[in-house]
Amino acid sequence: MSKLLRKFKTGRYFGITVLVVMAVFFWGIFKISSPDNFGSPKLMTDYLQTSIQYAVGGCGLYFIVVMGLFDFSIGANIVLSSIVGVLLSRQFGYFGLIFGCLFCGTLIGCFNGALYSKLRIPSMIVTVGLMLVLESVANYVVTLDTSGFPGKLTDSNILAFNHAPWNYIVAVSTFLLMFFILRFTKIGTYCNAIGSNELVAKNMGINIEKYKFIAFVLLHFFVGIMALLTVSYGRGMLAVTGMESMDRNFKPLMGTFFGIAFKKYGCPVTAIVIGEFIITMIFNGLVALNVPTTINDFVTGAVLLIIVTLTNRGLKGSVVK
Amino acid sequence: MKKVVSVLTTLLLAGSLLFAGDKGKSGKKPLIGVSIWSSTDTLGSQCKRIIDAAAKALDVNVMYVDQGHISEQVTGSAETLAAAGCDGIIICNSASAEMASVIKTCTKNKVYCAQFFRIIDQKANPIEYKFACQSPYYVGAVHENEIDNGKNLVSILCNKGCRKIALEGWEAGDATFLLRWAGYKAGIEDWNKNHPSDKAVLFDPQYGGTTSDTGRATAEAIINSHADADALIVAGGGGDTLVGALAAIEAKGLKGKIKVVSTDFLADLDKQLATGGMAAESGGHYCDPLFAFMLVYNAIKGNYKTSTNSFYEITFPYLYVASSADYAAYAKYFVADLPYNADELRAMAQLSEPELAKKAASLSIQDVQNRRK
Repeated sequence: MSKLLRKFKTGRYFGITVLVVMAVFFWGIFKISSPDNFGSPKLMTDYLQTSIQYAVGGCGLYFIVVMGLFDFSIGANIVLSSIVGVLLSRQFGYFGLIFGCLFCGTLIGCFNGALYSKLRIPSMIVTVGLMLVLESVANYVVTLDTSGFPGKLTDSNILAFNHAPWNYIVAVSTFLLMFFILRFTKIGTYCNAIGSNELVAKNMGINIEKYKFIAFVLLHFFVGIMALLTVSYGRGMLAVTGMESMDRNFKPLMGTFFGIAFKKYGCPVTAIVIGEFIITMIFNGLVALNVPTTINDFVTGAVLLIIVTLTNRGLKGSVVK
Repeated sequence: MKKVVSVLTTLLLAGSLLFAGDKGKSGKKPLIGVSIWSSTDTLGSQCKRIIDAAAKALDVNVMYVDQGHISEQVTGSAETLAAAGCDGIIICNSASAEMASVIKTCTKNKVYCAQFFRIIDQKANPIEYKFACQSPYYVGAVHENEIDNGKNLVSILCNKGCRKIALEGWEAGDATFLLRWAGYKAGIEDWNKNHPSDKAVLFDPQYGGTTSDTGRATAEAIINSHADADALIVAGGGGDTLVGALAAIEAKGLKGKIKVVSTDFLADLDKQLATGGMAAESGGHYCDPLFAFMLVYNAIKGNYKTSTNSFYEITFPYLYVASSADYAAYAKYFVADLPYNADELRAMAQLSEPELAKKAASLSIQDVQNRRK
């Protein structure tokens, strides 16, 4: 019996159960505090709709964060890919929007991966530089949009990804793709292996450089999908400079932290999706309680730290990278 | 190979220094820097359009720095523009506290400075106000009466039958937002005083940033938490916050049911007014930076004497649009065209400061119609 319990405690279903319990716990707290304007089935679908775009980005980030790398250019990629998508949509409709976002996103991933491999400097430094470059390019590209609504999706015939069911279809397809890559391909296995111990992975014959490059490409492909959902969700994208796109890195990253924390249970994708949902739920719950946005950020950050600490705390005396 | 690249890079950098030095020395064309939150968003791009037109008409070079209303970037932008050799800068700061550093930078570098969309409040920021008065390089400020603007928008909503009004700001602590918020509260107080049996409520603000996706997420959260809200004020933020908020209302099937007012005209405002997306909007103030530009231009040219105990202040009027017909006239003279042509801009540069202030105060759709007859 205790063997079965131990097996359950390290299995996927235990991880999913913990995530669901956490979601229900936060839902319960806010539902009790604010019964009239929080947590109805209709509102829950709203929270889910908001959170899925971040979950898509969080899935992409998992590929590199699990290897100990980081990418600060995600926000800039979202901005640039969205603006390219909007620009192409003026001529080619949906094809332009989808192709612009996904192709531009993936291309930036190739560029980031190649630069990281060739320059051999830490990923954070490379991607901070690239963030500035991409922001500038986005500011140039937006000037090419002479429609009078630069960066805005004003054509109501091109807003399918703005609402259900298409935003859910795109997001769920992305989660399934992520699940497939992690579970059934060498890429997922090798990413985890490199993250666990790069030296051992190298000695096992894994081409580290190649798989890091692939991880960057996959990350930015997912970011391209996130750009498609984000630009549709907000009906436009603002070109920013001076590292202002940095803010966009952190919401997907919060989901990735959940994924990393629940990796040991074998359910990172579920953790990312539910984690982003919990974060969105907390945001909406605090707004329902009329808590100012600044305190809202404080609470969200503190809850994230507590959850990750409780679920992913290293053993006493272990080295934390 | 490395040596060749090193030599070429060194020559390139040295060349750029020489080129920069030459440019500074020749000094034929004045160079005016523009420190703006964004030169690409809805309002920012309109501001850029009118400033570019004025620069072209007056043969002035302009240089833009986008600072995103982030305090350290606002102060840094003044340093960047001064280092780039600007003769003057116009700046839209975020909080008045930033102006102490900006004025210090401008005074140290002998660069004229004027604020647009902003003024330092003497009571709230006495130290910065004193700096502004004492600096011979702080020319003045062009600003709107934000409190009146706030009152007017609330009054429009109350007269349209709205009693539960939600509020979406863009950044907590932003100087303009605080003034507008004070105006909304004053508007509610006025209404409740005059209609004690039919009181209106203004909910506390939530902040949606300056992008459309964060604007939508915050608007959805506000509407979810105030299911009984019949109006939403999107205080501003450059226009993209409003785009997101409108998307949220439409996605929830509440278009026309929740009346939206805002400041900062949208490019598709006519469509929004016609379909019930917007109830009213104040804006059209993208010419505000033009008058700050004129202040600095004339200071550089020596036409406006700066003082060490005061500064120039120009109050700029808002335009209010509440129907498609209103917007059609606005679109003709302010969107499809600019309210001032090159000749008018050149003539404006010749005006004295009191005449310039009068010119700013007189700008309206009617004013442009009269000039185009």
